[in-house]
Amino acid sequence: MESAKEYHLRMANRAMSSWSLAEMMVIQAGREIATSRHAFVGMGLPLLASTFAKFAYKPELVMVTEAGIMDWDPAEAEVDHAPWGVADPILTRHAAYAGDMVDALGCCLMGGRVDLSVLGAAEVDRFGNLNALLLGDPRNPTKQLPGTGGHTDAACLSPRVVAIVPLEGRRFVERVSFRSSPGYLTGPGTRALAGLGPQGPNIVVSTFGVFDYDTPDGGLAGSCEMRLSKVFPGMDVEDIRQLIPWNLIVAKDVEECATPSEAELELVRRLDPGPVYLQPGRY
Amino acid sequence: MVPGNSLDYVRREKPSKLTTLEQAVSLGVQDGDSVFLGYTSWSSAFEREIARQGKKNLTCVGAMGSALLPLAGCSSLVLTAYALGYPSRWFLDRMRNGEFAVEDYTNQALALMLLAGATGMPFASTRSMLGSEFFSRPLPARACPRPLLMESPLDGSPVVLLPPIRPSVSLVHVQWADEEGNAVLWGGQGEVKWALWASERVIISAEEIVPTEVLRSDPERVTVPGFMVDAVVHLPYGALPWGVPGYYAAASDFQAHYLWAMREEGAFREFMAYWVHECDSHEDFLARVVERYGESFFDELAVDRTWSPPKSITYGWRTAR
Repeated sequence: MESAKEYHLRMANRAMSSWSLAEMMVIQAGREIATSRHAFVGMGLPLLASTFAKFAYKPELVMVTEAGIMDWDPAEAEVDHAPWGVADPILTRHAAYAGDMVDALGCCLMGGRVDLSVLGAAEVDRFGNLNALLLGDPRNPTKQLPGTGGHTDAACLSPRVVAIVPLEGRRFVERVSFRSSPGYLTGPGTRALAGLGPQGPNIVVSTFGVFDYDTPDGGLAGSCEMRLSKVFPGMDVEDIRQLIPWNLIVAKDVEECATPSEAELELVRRLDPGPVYLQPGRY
Repeated sequence: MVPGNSLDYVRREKPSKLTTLEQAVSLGVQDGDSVFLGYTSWSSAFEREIARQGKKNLTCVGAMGSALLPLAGCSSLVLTAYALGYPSRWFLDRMRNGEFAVEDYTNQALALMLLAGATGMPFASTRSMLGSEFFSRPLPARACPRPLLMESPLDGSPVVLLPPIRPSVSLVHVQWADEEGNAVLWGGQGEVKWALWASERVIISAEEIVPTEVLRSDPERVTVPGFMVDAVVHLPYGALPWGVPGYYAAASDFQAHYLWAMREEGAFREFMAYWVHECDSHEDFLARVVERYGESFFDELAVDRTWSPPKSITYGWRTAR
């Protein structure tokens, strides 16, 4: 019998006609980000997906990045790659404002000027908590990640979070190794108890589909558990449930996401030459 | 007499603060200091010079950090939110051995702690980190107040009080500076400005030394005024292997080598020997870059310098009649 790892690998590499599941993840994340007006954008895949959202669907999207550059709005033809980090000088091209961290994380984020944060994560758990700091026992970690940067700030302070997390067994866990960036903590009411504002509707965009959370009001009522809400074209709900290490809730009407168009695929590939972001084994 | 324009203005001559990289670090950084290195503006020449001079027992602070100084035995404590070269097994092992410790914060927390330091306040407050496990993690021993979770005395809502940070010295690389120390940094500013105001001493390195008249003709452009600055070093390509907006792009191969070297003991020793200990000066460092990466290295990093503001602001006023 094949191991869980082999199973993941086989699923992830399943040929989906002319596109990869990682490309589909970025495209679907872009579709979701396009519902925002002012988005705080984290490092990594969020930069690719938000740049994609801006050029594909929402030219007026205001992107806020943690080093302080805001409302980047270059001509599409001038952009040969999505920013490779929040310090990539390409972000200053036709930006409306180049401020600092107090502007971006204090005034913009904590001051309530963004309606969404787009974040990556090393781990996401049943209650939507994210981890970007370390793996294993916090007192004796097996792996130390570079750090959370503005990740914790955004998870605590945003009214809504879109997380982009490839679905691999070790990334979707019942409980994160370290709750660096809180979602719904340990269930209904706990976010408010910790002094955090309501948050939602939060989603996780993975390599197989999209998950939302069972709470109608940002974490007070409902079970606050992760719930499968949309699947990628050709994906099976039962296959996805098998990849989740707890008993996953599934929405009543699971939607199938639209197949990526030629234009969407062309843009995602153009924004990630190399590829840098979507190099297999990298994201 | 009314000055016609700023260039006619006869200013009081001030002594030049220009010095060398070696002097700036040997006088400006003492063993046991807390040091802010502006990694938003990639002060990597300062970082290597500190390692070359073998400074000891430094506390490195800043939202962006690097593993180089702890790995080189120069730093015993790092307060950061994101560190380059961190995630290696070797780094973790040495941390477990007690050679150095790391205190994790968030970008916002560190920026606000520096702001509290800059404004002389006993704390800054935030709602970030509430609900996280940052406060349940054992912190390294240190004679310094910790963040404190409490209810706001004004409205009863939960807040985190952040202790101030006042670095002994900030070393920051910028695009322009003049001999007085007036300095201009552009691109993402990170937390640099607050660190400069919070620091006891400030050392600036710059890609270009420009005439004071240029900077004083556009004071809003200036990131830190020269009266705050103790020393200025002219350091072209001072951010390598990282890039500087308007000057050069990041050198991807060199950058990968720089980061890779921090992951493993043998590679690190080799790296330190070639790029740090055997390097007599910044000029020697640049010569070694050419030796290792070829004559065309600098041409390949050239950036498009035509993206400049087509109109600059005017500071004109109506003169008294």
